[in-house]
Amino acid sequence: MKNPIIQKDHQILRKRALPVPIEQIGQAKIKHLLTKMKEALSAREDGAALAAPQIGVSLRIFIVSKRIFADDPDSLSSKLENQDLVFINPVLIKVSKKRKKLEEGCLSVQGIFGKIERSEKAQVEAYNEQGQKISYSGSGLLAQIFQHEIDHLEGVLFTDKAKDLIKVD
Amino acid sequence: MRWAFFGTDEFSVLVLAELAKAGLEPDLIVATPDQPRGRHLILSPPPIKIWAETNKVPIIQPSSLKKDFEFPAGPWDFFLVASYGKIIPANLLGIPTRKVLNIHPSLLQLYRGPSPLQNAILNGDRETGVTIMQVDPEMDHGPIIARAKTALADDYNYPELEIESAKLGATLFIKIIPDWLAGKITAVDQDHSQSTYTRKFLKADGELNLTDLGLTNYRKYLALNPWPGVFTFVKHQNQNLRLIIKQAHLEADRFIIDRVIPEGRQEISWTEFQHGLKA
Repeated sequence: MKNPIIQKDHQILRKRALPVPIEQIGQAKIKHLLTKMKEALSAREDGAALAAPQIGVSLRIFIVSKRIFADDPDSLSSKLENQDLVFINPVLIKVSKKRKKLEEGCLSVQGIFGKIERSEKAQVEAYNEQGQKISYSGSGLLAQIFQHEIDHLEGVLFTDKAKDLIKVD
Repeated sequence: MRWAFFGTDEFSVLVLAELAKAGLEPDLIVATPDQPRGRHLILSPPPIKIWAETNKVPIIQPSSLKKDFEFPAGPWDFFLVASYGKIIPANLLGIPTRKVLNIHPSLLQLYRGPSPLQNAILNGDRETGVTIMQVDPEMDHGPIIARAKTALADDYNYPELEIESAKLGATLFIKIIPDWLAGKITAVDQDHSQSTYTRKFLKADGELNLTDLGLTNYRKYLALNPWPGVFTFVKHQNQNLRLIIKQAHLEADRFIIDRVIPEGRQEISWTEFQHGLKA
């Protein structure tokens, strides 16, 4: 496989990822990394989002697949010309108090799903591919993804917190 | 003794392999022509041709048995037809001295036509069997020479039943052929008033409605694989998604799906499909 997704026992998934120096955004190295992340994510039909450590690079970046918006023509991403969303140096600045038990899975934990408590809404501040500061509020699946991805950047896997883990083949 | 075997598909091969094991090898095999098969429509030989070549039995594949076709010179004692795939025209029926015989995998007059085994499974029959009959000009209509019955277990699928029926038919044939050739058996007419018919299946026949009885869907799954296969439509991320059901089982009368191929994707387990996205 071209861009294999790193699996749970690899130590890089347990490291706290380093911030991207702002001046490097837009440079070849980061551009190349983003291309590889998009390739790896689009190769997985069941993939919703991906953090850089999942392809072996310990930097604070995650992307969200355009496919999660595919059903909603009014969604933000449709307005964004149907591209994967990029979050560089993301910070979770607000989460709703209201939490919900949700089903979750992870590209780096193949064959295992579980129930996890997540805030229903979440707001993220980050830089986009062009180095512009962005703020993004999400609810439902998108809020869940924000929390899951930021966990990745902290070296946390959903299986650390999830309950009722089940194995599927 | 000189005889010819008319056959084409897997069932034909299974029958003929059993006959050959018992020392009954035909002097000629008649099969339908090579046909485009598979999704790339590659011209492929029928399974019986591969058997014929491996076992060095002469084979012909006429595109038509009618008018212009001249059957290789006799004398011929009998022809045996097993899932040939075409009607044997009346002009051939008079050639062999001891007639044209057919192994049909049902208890005729039930389930005439091309899909008797699948229909027996779909109907949940407890018993099925094979018939050896003398071919007449109408489809699966000739007088019966011999029949053998077999119990049909609950979870028999079509390929399994096909193998069992072929063996049963071959065994019966080996048993009766000396007496038939000696003229010791009289063929008995079918009860035409009680006859039932089957047809070829279409892709659309494989659609399951998941709200139907579990047993109904399970029987379809058993009968319609490997062809045309079974599928259903599910709501998935606001789309109506076509889902091919590759594996399933019955649990407390409920139809439980195990493995699926979602439209345009690779095969995955049903549980995983239902859990959906990963991040």
